[in-house]
Amino acid sequence: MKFPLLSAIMFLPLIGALIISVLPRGNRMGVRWVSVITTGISLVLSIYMTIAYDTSAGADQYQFVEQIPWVETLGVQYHLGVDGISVSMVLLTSFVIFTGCLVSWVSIKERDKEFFFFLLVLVFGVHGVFMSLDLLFFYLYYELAVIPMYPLLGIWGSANREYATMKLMIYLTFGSLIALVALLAMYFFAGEVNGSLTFDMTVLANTPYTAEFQKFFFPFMLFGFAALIPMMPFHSWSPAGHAAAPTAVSMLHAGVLMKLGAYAVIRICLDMFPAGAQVWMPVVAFLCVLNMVFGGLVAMNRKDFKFMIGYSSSSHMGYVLLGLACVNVVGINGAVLVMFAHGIMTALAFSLIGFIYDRAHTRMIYDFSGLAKHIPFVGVCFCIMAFASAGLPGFANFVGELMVFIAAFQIYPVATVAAVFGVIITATYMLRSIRDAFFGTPDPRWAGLEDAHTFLHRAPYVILITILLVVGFYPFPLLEIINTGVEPLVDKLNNAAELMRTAQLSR
Amino acid sequence: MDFSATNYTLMSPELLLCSAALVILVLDFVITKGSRRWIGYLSFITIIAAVIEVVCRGAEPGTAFFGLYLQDGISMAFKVVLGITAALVLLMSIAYSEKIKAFEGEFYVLTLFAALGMFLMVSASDFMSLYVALELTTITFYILASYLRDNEISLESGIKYLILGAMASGVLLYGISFIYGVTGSTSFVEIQKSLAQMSEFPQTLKFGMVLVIAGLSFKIAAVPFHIWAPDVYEGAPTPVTAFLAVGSKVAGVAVLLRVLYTALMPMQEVWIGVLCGIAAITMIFGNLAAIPQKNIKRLMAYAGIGSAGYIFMALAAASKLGAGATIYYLAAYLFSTIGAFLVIVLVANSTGGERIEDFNGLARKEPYLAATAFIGLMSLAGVPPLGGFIGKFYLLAAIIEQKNYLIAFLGAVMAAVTLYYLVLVIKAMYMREPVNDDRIDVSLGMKFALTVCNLGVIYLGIYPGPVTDYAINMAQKVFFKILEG
Repeated sequence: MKFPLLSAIMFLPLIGALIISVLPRGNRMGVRWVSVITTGISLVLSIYMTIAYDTSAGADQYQFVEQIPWVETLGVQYHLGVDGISVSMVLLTSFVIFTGCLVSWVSIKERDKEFFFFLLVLVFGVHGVFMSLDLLFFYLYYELAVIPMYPLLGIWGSANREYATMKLMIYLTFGSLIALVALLAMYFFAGEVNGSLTFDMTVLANTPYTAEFQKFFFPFMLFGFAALIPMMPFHSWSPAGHAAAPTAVSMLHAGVLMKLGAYAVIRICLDMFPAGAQVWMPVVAFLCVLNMVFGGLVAMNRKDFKFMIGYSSSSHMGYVLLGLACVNVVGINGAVLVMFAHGIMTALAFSLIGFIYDRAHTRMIYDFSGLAKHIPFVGVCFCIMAFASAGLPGFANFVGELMVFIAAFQIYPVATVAAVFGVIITATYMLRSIRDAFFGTPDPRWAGLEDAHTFLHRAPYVILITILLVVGFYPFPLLEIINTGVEPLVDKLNNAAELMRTAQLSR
Repeated sequence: MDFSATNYTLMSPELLLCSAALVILVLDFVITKGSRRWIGYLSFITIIAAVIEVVCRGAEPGTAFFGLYLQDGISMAFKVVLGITAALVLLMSIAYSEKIKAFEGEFYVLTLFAALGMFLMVSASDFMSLYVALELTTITFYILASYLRDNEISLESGIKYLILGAMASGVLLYGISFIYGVTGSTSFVEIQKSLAQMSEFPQTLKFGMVLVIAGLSFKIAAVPFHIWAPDVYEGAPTPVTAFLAVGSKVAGVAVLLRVLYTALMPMQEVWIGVLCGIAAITMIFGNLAAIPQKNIKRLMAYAGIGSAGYIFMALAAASKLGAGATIYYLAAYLFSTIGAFLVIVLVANSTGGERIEDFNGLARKEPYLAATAFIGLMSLAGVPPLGGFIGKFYLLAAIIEQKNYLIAFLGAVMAAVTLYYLVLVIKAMYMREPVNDDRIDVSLGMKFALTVCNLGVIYLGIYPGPVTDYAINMAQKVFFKILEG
């Protein structure tokens, strides 16, 4: 029997969580070591998976497949497999959770056992979504990835956490349940067409749904999943949630959870309902302008670092949506690369802000001045993060955004122009926050602030910045992997467009 | 008289339950005061033995007493669910026994008789035996609900249940009389045969059908026949509340399933509409009315009403998936709800209250109790990877299979509301400071019961395969074979 690589990556954090739950209360070091070791091994395995992934032309679309029947009467299977898109997302998740555990090592002070438990369960769910090829399990993991957010926010959150928790919960469950109805409708439709019920996503994706059916149910899936991206106008839970969340949770939330929504749009909406996508994606192209421009403008107006980055995240996810709305190879490749780059970048941003907040107990931009003098290491990291966020060449974000713009300009010129404005807006607020908080006359209030001296403090930042730079300068290996997942998808979308065109002509 | 045709060995679980209950009733006179709790454990063993007997008998179809009583895969599944419920309720009663000041022994025996009535209900294959079994259960519950004799709320709850229950029984009987009048039979199979030959259904028959559904909806606490539930749940002794919430509901659903899917199956076009209507208002009312509740037992009552709405939604699918999903959901509902009620009993023993505030900070004082309540309530809310999630998933799937999207969307929206009010309890347990630092002592029996509930919920959530396959295959075999063949 082959070594179940994907199960190992996915279950290691869960095993960690279970070990933590039986550790005696007060064993602070044990909890931390278990989390770091399990996520560390999971990260190493993810890197191995990325290297071992076969990008040659004749390779299978889904690799490292594991398949075990689970509920026979309904066609449920425990079915894992990754394509190019999932590989990049699994890698991203492993990096973010590993650095998140490192950051939480010092920053979580009370009820740490429960904290790491929920954190690791959340990651289990996230990995599950990216790997699952069975629709029931996909939905189960999707919910499982969101549920631990409530305790994580509600218990360890900062100001206004109860409001933020409830808001997040209502938006996300509401969205996923609406999507569920559409998913089940699809399941039964495919069951009728194929003659047997199955939740196997590879089968569901190759079932010919009628164009009317796709057009009707596409928006339910799209808006259900897009609430997690968050696509405007369903975004308002997100900045409030960010602002209330503890550091590691913000990192995971912005770095990974938002990508779950985008991934679900790719894997479910685009892959299964290509004809629906042709009709509805222009609407997304319009809404994503709201994300980029409106989100950016709001971010500009925020005084709170976390709110700023929170709105900045929804503005960046606008590029992802724009890339997806292009429904062509370059656009979707770019979108996935932006997802990866933004995940790393935003994890870096939230870890830095968490570092400052833990020590200064404030994160209002106007409270700070000349911070770079007192905490130079963190200051430099923050500048690097800001440059990456503003899309400077040399960082991974630049590559992805550029690809999105190139693809989108031919299809949605107006939206693209707005998107370029979005970049300028990002640069404005990022640079302004650097100027206000990190430069200028050093405020003596913060003279005693401690910089990131130890290895443990610096490691997460160094890891994340390294990835941003490596992918920024040499994106081709990663792009090649992503492309193997994108090409079959785009073929399908083009076929659907072709079919619709001929149908219209014959009418 | 020829007794061989009665085939009475078929009902060995019921006979065992009945004779053991009578023996225990007599034992209660001999046993010394103060060791009454042994009566409780004896009753517990009895019910476990009955469940084992049910399982050993298997799913082999058969009828007894000239077609009044039947055994098949569906009755077996429901009996296992009901038996486990009764067993857990008995353990709960033992922990609750301090509050029962008089006639403690009879309390356990009455619980056994209620379980016996429920067993007979799910095995009834004729309106007559159905009615007798139903009354056995209901009358026992009248007594149980008002067991705390010096507590006015408990007495009020007993009276309310008595008056409304008697009325519901009357309505049911009245409905049965119409169906009998049109078809000339009270046997489910005979009714189905005669309905299948009708090209058009007379108004009187439809009227009778609506009355029967209304009478049974009372048991299940579906809107608009739910009025009794919150008050009775609040006033009755907590183990009785739990038994009402799970046992009575499960048995009611089982009977409704049997009546609709066998006797009235030919007129499904008519009752699907009625069920959809009840499902819609029940889901909306139950879930919205739960939001402002301060008392945990009232909250559970409204949550139970909401669940009844989901079950009606799945029953309205009139398919094998609908029946299978209902059975699966009820199994998950059993473990989730009983788990929550076990914690309610223990918390009320320690803090003396049953308000949501009394749960404040439970996670700090008693992490295991809090975890059990967390698992139970989250399962009721339909959160993965717990049993309630899979159950609700199936219920929604059943109605979507029939392309009834409107009510499915309503169900989806209401599921989000359910999560909202149940999270309020979780919030009290995990995010508030405890009122006092008193430890709660949990007896071995209770620890066992809590663990059973947790394992049940998690097992149904993680590995749904065997139970799902069983429920759906049995539903196909019992309800749909006749129609296809």
